[in-house]
Amino acid sequence: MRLPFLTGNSAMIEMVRAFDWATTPVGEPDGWPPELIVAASFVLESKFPAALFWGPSLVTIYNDGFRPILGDKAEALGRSWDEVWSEVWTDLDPIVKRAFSGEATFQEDMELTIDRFGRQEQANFTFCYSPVRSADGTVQGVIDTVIETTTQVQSRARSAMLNDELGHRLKNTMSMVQAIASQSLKTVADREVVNSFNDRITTLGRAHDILQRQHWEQAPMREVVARTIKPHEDGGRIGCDGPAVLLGAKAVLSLSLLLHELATNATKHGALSVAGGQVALVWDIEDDAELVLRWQETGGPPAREPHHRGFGTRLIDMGLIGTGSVTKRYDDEGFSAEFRAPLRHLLTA
Amino acid sequence: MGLSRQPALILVVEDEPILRLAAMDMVEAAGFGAIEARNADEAVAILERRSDVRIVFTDIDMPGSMDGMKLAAAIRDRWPPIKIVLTSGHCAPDLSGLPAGTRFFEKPYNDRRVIDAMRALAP
Repeated sequence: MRLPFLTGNSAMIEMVRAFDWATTPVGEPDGWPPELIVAASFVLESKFPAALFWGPSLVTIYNDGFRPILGDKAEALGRSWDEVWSEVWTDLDPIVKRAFSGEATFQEDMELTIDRFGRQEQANFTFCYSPVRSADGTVQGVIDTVIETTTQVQSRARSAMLNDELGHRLKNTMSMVQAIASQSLKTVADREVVNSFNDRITTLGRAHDILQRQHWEQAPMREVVARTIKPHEDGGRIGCDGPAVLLGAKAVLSLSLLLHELATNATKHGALSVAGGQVALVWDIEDDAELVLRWQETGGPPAREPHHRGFGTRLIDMGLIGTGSVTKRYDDEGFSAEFRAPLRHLLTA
Repeated sequence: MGLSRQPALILVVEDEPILRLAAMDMVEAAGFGAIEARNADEAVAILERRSDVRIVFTDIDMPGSMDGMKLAAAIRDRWPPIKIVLTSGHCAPDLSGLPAGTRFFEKPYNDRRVIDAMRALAP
């Protein structure tokens, strides 16, 4: 049997045995150097898609796992790697040269416009080119271990597009809710009520926007605070400070609505209703377990507890993610409040 | 705006009828004059006919031969004095190619902030 070093019997091993190697620059297998024998058997007996290209003319040997990558290309066995991949040679040439200079490369999801079914096709590959050396250390060939990732890359792109479209539709729907509300409530004399409603929907929209960008998972608290506070911010009058904390989707919505109510109240009756009034918004983590959020108004009129307990007040009293852990103070210096919630609830909620 | 002058005219471009209706009401309630277009092509036809539009308030995502960004570029090229206010349910677009003063509001937008911007653009 030819090629006695190959013990397996896969389709490619059969083809390699039957192949007329005398027609190629590597010649008959009995004359192959040990490093070629080792590299060829490594590739051919591997279940992972792999190919080997050998010598200055890059003679190709590949395994069963690699076959689907070649599609309907003319038989690649024994041909030059640069001829097999002529359509993408400008992309591959530098990586091949690097491998021959002794430097392995790892490419993740590399996009190549290949031609394997008689048409141009965008495909993605995650692969490694590793140099194969002879005993004296010179690189004689390169092993390409590769996995085609076209389907994964495309499905990631599709899911990003769907995520974007979903966010877009959600925000359009919120706009419709606002429009329907302003039309339905046209005769309501107290415009303040309609305005508060629309502002809360705008706040909710902004919170969803943050979440959408984080793929509906966790969002950094700083970003939620900055984006919610910004529309109320009047020349840096709300000072925000606190450590990096990640919030889950429910916590993002809850914190956004809460901060919106606090900022709205401050603008209407509190520190931000007069020139020179300020707000300090500070948060911290206590005992590695609890988030404490403090809202402190100064420089405004004396704070007085409201007579009427409206939706805004109830939103504030619910606290962060509805824990109800809220301490409010109506002092002469201004309104202040402290909110507490377990960190693990904030992250998972 | 002064009492002696006509209120500034705003062209509202929005393909969604309910949103267009609400935007028209918002603009009129603020004391502006308002005319409407259902898409960018209609908006261009209106701008070709009349010369009194001060601001175009347009949605970005609209069907037809042009979206709101292309409409804004056409206004920049053909009617440079007209101010542009954009809105979209998508994230903020790149405004660098558009005239200085062009504003963008994410949907769902806050009516009063849009009106404030319009008053600043057409005092």
